[in-house]
Amino acid sequence: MVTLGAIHWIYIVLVTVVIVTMAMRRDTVLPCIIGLFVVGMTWSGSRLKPSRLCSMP
Amino acid sequence: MIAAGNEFLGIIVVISLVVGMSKAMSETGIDALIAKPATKVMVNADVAFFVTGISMLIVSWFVWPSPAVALIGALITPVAVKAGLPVIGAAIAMNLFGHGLAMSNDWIIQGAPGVTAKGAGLADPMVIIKSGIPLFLVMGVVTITIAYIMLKRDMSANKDHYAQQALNYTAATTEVKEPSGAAKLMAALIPVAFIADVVAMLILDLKGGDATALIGGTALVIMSVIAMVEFKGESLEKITNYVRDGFVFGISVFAPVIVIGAFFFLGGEGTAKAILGENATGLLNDIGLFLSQNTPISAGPICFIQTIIGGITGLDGSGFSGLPLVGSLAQTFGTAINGDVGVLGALGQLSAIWVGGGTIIPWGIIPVAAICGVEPMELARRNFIPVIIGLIVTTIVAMFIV
Repeated sequence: MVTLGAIHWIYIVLVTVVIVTMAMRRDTVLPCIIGLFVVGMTWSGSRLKPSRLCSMP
Repeated sequence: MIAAGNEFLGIIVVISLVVGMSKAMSETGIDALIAKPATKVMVNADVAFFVTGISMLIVSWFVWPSPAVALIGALITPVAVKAGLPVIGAAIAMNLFGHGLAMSNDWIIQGAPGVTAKGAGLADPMVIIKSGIPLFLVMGVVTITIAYIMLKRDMSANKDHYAQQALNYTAATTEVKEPSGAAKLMAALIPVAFIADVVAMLILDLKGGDATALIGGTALVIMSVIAMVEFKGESLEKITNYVRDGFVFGISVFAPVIVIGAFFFLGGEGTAKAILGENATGLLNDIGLFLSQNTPISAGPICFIQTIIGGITGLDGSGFSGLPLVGSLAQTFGTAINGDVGVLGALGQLSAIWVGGGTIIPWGIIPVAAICGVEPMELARRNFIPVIIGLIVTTIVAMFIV
């Protein structure tokens, strides 16, 4: 049995935002940058150490 | 984003090389020579749309869509555009016929149905292919008809704009000197080289990435030969220019896609590991599994959930990543409702491939957009409505035959 954590719900919301943006015929780069940032933060926060996403050179 | 960039680098390089080659070809007038016979067949935009689409369909069945894009894009698309088809129309035709229709049943190479069948515990991929035929037909006819009608409407609404575009395109490609004897020879040899590529792919059993690489290599060789025979002493500098132009174009198309791809790669299992670290899980797969555990067991909801799960797992831009999941779900659901496992598997596969393989996800469709010179997002927006309507209609049909 798979249970969904906070990160899944956050991701679902962000994906919905991107798809709505696409349906409104606008560019999706900004929502994706925000999405990367939020998911990256949630992920590293839940592991209590910086992920590779944040520590990229 | 670096991880996403790495995922795309292979295709960026191939696209750039093909664009560089077509630059060299148009500067020497070779492209006009090659296009001449095809010009006779493509008398107007309607014929051009379907000729482009169907040649894409056939080539994609044999070697998968990505090498087909490079091939058709270099040889047939320029002719279609001269026949009055807007570049966006050519892109739509290539994308829907190749990445959608051809890839979603994939009956020659059997890559996609093979994976789905394995997930569903079926020994023979042909089961998926056979029981999926009505679904593939419905999906193809509905989607392509809607896309075509929308394109026609748009063409008559913006007639002036497209007329201007066609004019610019023709002007940009024909302001060349009289082709030399060497150019005529090259014009004969280039199609032969690409046909040899296709033959080599079939004999050596190359597909997907390897086949695309072969096309890229061929493009590089042709570009070099053109530069050498046409410009002789200057060829060293000329070729640098062609390569540079090709890569400038390639990167300018892919730049936004790398950002968007990075976000959606967070959801795919393999790519998430590369970005977030070893113990990352595929968010999109988790979501698909979660949905399947909370579905009422009867034909209607199950068909819809198969389509939705296929679509969700396709969002990471790889149509293939979701196939094992939809396959095993098809088996679970099929036994639960006493339905046809093959139909359910085919439905999930169709949805995963049309979405992720991809016709509406910008990072899945970039090769097509790049080779036609249109914005990937513009192409995705144009495909969005036809593909969604097609998926809904197909799902409803599936409910009755399952």
